[in-house]
Amino acid sequence: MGVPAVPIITARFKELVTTISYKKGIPNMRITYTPHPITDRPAELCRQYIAGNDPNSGQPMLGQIYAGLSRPLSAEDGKAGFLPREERTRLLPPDTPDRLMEYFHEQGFTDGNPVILPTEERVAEMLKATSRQPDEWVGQMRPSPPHEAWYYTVEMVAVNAVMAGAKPEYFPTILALAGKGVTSMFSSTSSFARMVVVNGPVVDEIGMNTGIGAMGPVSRANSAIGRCWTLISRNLGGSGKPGETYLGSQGNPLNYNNLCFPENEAGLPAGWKPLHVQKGFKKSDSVVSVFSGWSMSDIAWYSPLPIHEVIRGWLEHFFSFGTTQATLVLDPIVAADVAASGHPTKESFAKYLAENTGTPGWLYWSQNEKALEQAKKGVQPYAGWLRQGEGAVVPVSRYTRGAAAGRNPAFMASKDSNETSTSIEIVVTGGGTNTFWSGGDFGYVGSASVDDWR
Amino acid sequence: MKSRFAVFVAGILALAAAGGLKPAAAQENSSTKPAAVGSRVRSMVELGSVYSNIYDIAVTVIETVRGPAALERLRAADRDNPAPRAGMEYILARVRFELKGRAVSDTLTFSLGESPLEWVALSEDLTEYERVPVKVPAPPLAGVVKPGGSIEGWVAFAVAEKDPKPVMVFDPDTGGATGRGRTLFFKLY
Repeated sequence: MGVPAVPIITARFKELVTTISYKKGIPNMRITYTPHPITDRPAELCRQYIAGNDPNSGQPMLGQIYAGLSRPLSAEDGKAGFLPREERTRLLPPDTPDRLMEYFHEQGFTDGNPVILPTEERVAEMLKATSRQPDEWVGQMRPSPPHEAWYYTVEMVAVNAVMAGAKPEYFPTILALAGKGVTSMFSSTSSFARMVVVNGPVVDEIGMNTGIGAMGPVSRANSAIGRCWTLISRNLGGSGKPGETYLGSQGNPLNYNNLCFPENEAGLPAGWKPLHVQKGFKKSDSVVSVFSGWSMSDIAWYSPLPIHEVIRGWLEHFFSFGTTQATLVLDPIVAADVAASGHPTKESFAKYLAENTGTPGWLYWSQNEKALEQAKKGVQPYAGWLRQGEGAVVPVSRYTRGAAAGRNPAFMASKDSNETSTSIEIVVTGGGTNTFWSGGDFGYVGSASVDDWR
Repeated sequence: MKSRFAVFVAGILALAAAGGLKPAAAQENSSTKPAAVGSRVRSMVELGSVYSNIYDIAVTVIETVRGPAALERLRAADRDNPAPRAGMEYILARVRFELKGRAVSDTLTFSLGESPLEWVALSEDLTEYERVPVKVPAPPLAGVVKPGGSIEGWVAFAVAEKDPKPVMVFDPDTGGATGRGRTLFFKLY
């Protein structure tokens, strides 16, 4: 647009920014760096950073910014265009399995665990499980919006399905997942996790486990499908290179198989719709649904309190990075108890929870500084809330659409997905050995038909 | 003796980028292979911010009008539309944009025409032409497209009179965090 600009980046992200500016066709972008990190640092310290030196170049930041904005563009600066891609062969030359496995690890093709080597025969067998052509384009995927998208075909997905240990009958489900174009390893410093819920006839057809241990590593189908998503994200979506295409500061163990499980539709109370039916599909459709969040807790509370009230209390005080959305995964016997307590549908229970949960005071006031100022000036209703104490629960729900409390609402699913009255999703799975349920900060992203990929 | 396997390369980006396969029509579309008038080009866009989903699109240049005929139509649309600068002439392109969700749960929409960078004309050597501030004939190529829907409308460019092979670019990646997708190229001749 002809407007000079000098991005200011924290020093930790030099490699990332250099890579992206190169990929975007601006290899000579003029950038200046501040010390890292700047989050939660006082304004005075940030001013000192600006007045000080760029830690990467050792030069004064302000001088670099001025020079970057005022120096005329050279011929070198004006060079643009995308990176040419080197052509790689489709097949590796024959070698021993051990050496090939090491090669795959060295190239970053794996999740750190051994994979099944994708021989031509195995990939051909996988491809028989779909009517789609091997060279058909399935989707595009990128580590996060600043990155370029990679495009992939049915055959490329089949390679990764073999590597993940999938049986051919899992392949349409894997293709549906790949066709969403959502990476399982989103490149953010916050270490995102993903979740996959499978519904419909395909669950029984491929032997997914809806019972005891449904969310654990006791089923080949649950494990391989979930694992494959991460291999696809790394190998076909360009994710997972620390410092460049993956920035999760601590990483997330859920990325190993992305919480892949089916809903126990037989265990749903009467009147509770399966997840895919809630999202507009027919019950006879086979569907994968994708969620995004960060963490999941496994909970039971043996007390005279009814379970639905325990869940309500947990939701009120629950805190993690994504505090304005929640997904509850209920064991069938928990779902039955909740339904029996007067909640005839998932939606009615979610609405009850959203309308009857407040926000912990410390969380509300720390995220609503203007409200705190008004409360201190006596403006209602804030003053009344604050009068209960800064730690007291504020009667503002975090789980209604457009909720103000909580961090980073721009990350939340409610912005983009089907609009409902709450940001609470409910799924039922498990074997009924006890009244356990799981809750976490996952939000619904979208669903895809498995049948379209058969 | 250990067995020896030949295996596929897991990271197959190079195949797609280098044209090792021919998977879909959109991958045949490039600055050196712009789509002809009347050719329906299929591609994909990602709608949503962090939580995006893939939607399928198709873009077709239905017809083009160039030179005095284009100016005549522009003047009919708005008598105040200016004449092109010396050495330049107008091209009008009637374009159809189609959007399709991949599932019933895909309900986001695509806003066409909000960015001046969305539809751009390039010369044969891919130098960008300046955008022209004219009122196009009705209907304009603008509006909100729902999944399963389409919009058909006119977009206007000014190109060099001596340029025999101007190209139009559709770049869906102009709306900030949403609408990411591949740049598509179309012949305006």
